[in-house]
Amino acid sequence: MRVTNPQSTGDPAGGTAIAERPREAPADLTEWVCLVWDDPVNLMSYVTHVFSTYFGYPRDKAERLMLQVHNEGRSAVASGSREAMERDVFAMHSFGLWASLERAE
Amino acid sequence: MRAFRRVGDGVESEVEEFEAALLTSLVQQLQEMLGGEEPDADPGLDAFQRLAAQGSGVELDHDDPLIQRLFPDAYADPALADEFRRFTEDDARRARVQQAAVVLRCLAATKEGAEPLRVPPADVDAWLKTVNALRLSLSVRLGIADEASLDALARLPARDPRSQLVDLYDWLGFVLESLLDALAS
Repeated sequence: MRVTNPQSTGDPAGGTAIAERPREAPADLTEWVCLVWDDPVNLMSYVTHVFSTYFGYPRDKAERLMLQVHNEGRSAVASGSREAMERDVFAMHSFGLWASLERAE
Repeated sequence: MRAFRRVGDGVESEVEEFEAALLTSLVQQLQEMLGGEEPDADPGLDAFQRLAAQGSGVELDHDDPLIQRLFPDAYADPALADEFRRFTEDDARRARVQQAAVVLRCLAATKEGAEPLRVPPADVDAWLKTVNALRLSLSVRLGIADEASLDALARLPARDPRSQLVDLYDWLGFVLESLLDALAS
């Protein structure tokens, strides 16, 4: 079994080329939210089903978020990195829900 | 159509011949509007050629209100929304076409309603998304924009030509609700 990478123990100058590469931009730590907006078409039971199956939320949380969408016109149903929220918005669109992402306030 | 019931991990129902035909026709219309199924990739093409062929994919009509409803803006900023659309829309479109194909396969297996309509667990997602997309499609044709327009449609006189579409919209609501009930049972 190989436990170390033999290249990493070789010539110390071997790392020079890598060191000259531009350093990656620091990870964007901004929090984003996935918003779901109310619409008169999607059934309440369907929206609850989507929140509980896609996000894995317990039934009562899924229902609370669904009611928030219904009563307040929108709800932030998830938060996280921009990439993660883009995935969630994409998934919500695939279910026919009206969703968008924005920076968390 | 009877309400769906749970059978094992999947759900089942019975459909009349005309219901199977109606649902099939609605799903086919949706599929065509989304660019339809593409022929299988030519096995003679190499990976790069296949990629290039995919790139020339279907262009959706973004002036069509149904396309706008099925593929809404992901960002309030139009430039970001366009960029998101450029990177995701073709995948989303293909997925919807494939889901429609799953529903059509289940409907075909009923042999025009002679056999039970069986939706195995792997097909449930495609059924929910497709039936919901049909409701969204009818809502656009009926101009359902808010609760008030929905209430107005409920009071249409029977002779109004839109009342048939309203019945269809309600029926699809029953199909979807019944699927969800059976899944939760």
